Amino acid sequence: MAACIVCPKRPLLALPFLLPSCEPVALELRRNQSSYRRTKQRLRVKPDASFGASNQSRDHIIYNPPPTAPSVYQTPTKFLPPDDARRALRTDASSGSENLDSFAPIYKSSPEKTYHLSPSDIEEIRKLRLTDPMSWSRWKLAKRFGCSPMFIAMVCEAAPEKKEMQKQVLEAIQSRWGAKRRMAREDRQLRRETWGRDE
Amino acid sequence: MRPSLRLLKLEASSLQGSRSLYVCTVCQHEARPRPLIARQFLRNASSNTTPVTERVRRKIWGTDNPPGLKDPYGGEGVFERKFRKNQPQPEEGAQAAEVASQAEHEHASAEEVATDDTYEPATTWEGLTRVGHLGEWSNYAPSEADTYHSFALNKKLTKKGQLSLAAHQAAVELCLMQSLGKPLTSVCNVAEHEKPVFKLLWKCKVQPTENGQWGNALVYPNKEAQDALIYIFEQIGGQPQAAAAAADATEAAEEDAEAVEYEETAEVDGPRLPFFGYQDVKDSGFLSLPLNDPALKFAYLKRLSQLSGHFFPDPVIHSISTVQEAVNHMQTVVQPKPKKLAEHLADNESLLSLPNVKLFAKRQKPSDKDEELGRKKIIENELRARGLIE
Amino acid sequence: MKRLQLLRWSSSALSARARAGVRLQQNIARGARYQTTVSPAAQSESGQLADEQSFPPQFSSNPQQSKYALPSPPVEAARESAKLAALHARLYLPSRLPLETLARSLVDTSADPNPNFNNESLATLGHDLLTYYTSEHLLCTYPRLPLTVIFAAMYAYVGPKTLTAMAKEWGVETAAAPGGEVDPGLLQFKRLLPGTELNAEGATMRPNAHQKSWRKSITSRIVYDNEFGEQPQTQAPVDAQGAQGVSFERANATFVRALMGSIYLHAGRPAAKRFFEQHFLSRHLNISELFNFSQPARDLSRLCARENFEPPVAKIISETGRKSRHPVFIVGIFSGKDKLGEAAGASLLEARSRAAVAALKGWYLYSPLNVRVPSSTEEEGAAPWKPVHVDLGEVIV
Repeated sequence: MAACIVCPKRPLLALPFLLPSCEPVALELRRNQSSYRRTKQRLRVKPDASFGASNQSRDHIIYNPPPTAPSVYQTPTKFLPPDDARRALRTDASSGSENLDSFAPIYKSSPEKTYHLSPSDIEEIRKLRLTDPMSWSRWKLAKRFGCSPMFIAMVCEAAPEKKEMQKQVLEAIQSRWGAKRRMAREDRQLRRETWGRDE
Repeated sequence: MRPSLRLLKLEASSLQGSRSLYVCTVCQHEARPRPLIARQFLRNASSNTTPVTERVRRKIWGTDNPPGLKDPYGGEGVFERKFRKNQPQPEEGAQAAEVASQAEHEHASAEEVATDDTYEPATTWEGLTRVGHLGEWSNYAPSEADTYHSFALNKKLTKKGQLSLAAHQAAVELCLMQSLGKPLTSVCNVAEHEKPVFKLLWKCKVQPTENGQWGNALVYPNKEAQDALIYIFEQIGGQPQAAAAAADATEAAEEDAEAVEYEETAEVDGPRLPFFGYQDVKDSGFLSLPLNDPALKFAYLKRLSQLSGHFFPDPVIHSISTVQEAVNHMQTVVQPKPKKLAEHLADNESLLSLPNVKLFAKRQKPSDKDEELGRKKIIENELRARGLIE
Repeated sequence: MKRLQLLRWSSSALSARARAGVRLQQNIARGARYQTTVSPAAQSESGQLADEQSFPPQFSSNPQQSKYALPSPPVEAARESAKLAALHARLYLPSRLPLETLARSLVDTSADPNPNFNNESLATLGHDLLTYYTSEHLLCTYPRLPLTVIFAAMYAYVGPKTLTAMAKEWGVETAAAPGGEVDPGLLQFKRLLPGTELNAEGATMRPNAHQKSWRKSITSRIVYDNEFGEQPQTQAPVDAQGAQGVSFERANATFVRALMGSIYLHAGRPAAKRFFEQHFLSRHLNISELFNFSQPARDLSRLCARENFEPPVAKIISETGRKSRHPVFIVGIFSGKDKLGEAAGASLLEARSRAAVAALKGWYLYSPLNVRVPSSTEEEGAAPWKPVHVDLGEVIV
């Protein structure tokens, strides 16, 4: 009789983390997990389905690669020249782009490019920035003309005196940095350079 | 320790010089006089003739000849006896001899007095007649039986032609013996033939028969040679009957003696040439004679080792099956081992054919390596510039 | 002869652009100097060159003396050298390549100025073969590689440092000083004097070469510089004996090139190609590590615009621990419905940047199937040449 009772109970007792934690009965039943046997038992995870015995009794190859970044030597299908034979071999199923819409983009909204500024507007931007650099900063100009600050930077350059001033401000800020902050900034710059080398 | 000994020890230590000089106890003991001598000295100190104990005994008994033991105190002690054992000769022997010689001396002194002027005492052993020996065998003069005659040649033959000559001679002799039906090993009784006999033997040819019999293999140059050889070889080795063994032995002894005489005369003539100066054999048919019969093989190798001076080890004997192989063995033994490793390696054909192996006759020194690297001329130029070499 | 003379003349008269190939030019000029059939008039015309011509003295009767007098080991010494035979066997060189030629390829110009006994001519041939085979291999295998990467890969395959390392791996030892008594199996060259400037830049055909601070464009490097995109190094200064010393690296590189040239001469083209494949192409080079992008995302968007793809969009494929100290984002870059590349990063910006790098590498490292090189058509019965994929070129922003 005792064996009959133990058998159905055992999985529940052995895997307490599977039980919903809010259940008061489970909280009472949870025992100390510090023993070796219990710790080991917790780690007994069911293997991946591909490792299990399949329906066919014949031998088969298990292909279950660890998750790694794709090799750069494998050219994306879009980059293959039109006459390449591999283009026909790769089907939609192998590319795995079925759930593309479920991925969240990095930026909230991708700005639509409007191309609404005329050459006369650009001339005005340049004039404003050159004549009064203090009041017309990149952000202000961008707000006024409805474009990005990046576009302002591409279109025109700041006046030399403004550049000089900004440089002095930056130096004043950096002079207050201690060794730790300076090193951290430099390390960050070095790390950013490794992105391009893919190290 | 007896008081007298202790006293002596003090004397000895005082003799050894200043006290500051340390001398170990062993050395002190060594330097000390023997207790035996000390005791004698002690006993003889009071009186020359009678010891103290004797005089006490005489006094007790009241006579000069007291009854009882001569020495009632048990004689000498254990140590004294031990010391006496170690050196008895200078004591008792000398005493006994002294007594005897004194009597003799007194007896002979009368005669010696008469011939006193001519006598001169010898100071060395030189010139004195020696009588008798010390009982060692080596002290006897060598007798005739002691001279050693080696069975084989004293000097091994080394030339190729001489080796084949020896092999040929042995083969012809054994063929003769086989055909005559005599004991094969008895050819060894004749260490060396005389020149005409050898010439006859040399002229004989050997043509091996199919059945491998040695008796029929001999081809004589002519009829006279055959007769002469058969006559000569009838004499050596004895009759086939065992009865004539004694006569045969005497004959062999005569032959031996003759041979010895001949050798002596030859040596007198000058440096004796082996095989009378013959250089090589005429034919090489004997080389293919088989050595299947163990008795024949033994006889042949015995005779060959006698003639050539080469010894055949047992494994070699086992592997030899023809005359050719025996000759080959001697020739391989004869070839001298190269003295240097470089010479030995230079004989190695497979090594010489390798292009990436270079053999040097001389040891390669650092200067050779310098030259190979091109460094030597720079070093020499620099030394010359500083005047350190010529 | 006439053509050589014309080139000599043209070098001073024609514009610099016409004189491509500095090395070729040098070697042709040198070849003219060593031509034995040159007429006296021509020789006097190239006056300062003839003066430098100094051949070693003729063989004297004393063998030992002559050995020391020779600048390099005599030809017959090659057969006796164990080192040379061992090197020949170790490299598994074709048996048609004689030991004498191998010995000659070990004699540098600085050791023996006589062109009949040094490896200069062999090295010229070998260098051209090496660079030709390497460049055709790179261009046909990766037709989209940027030129800077090609320069770097060429340097990695047949650059002087690689050749020196190979000579070292082959077990080629160097003699302390060149001379006739030296073992012919040793690499012989005259050492540089201590304190010599090693990286002095040599003469160049580049206009405004004195303007050191000017930017050197990639295109100008193709035209004016050597096959590694570098300005060729100058020859070492002439020392007191009138001979030039060379660096260890240069002498070793020259030997390997000369060996390639001698294999080509004696054993033919197939053997040379086999040697090249076995010793040079077999060396592992991960070309994907040679890239260095400064603005990968911008380059990628330019590329997509050029190739009429949809503009690339970065999307988060998965992420973990966004609010923790070590978050991991996996970002993919998509163009329309196709994924161009993905990468992991500790920040969204890093992941996007790395993904863009991966996408760009995917573009540049495209390799067609069944790569054939032009030199494969030189064999007997080879299939006719089919044009390989030619790319538009790298992305220029």
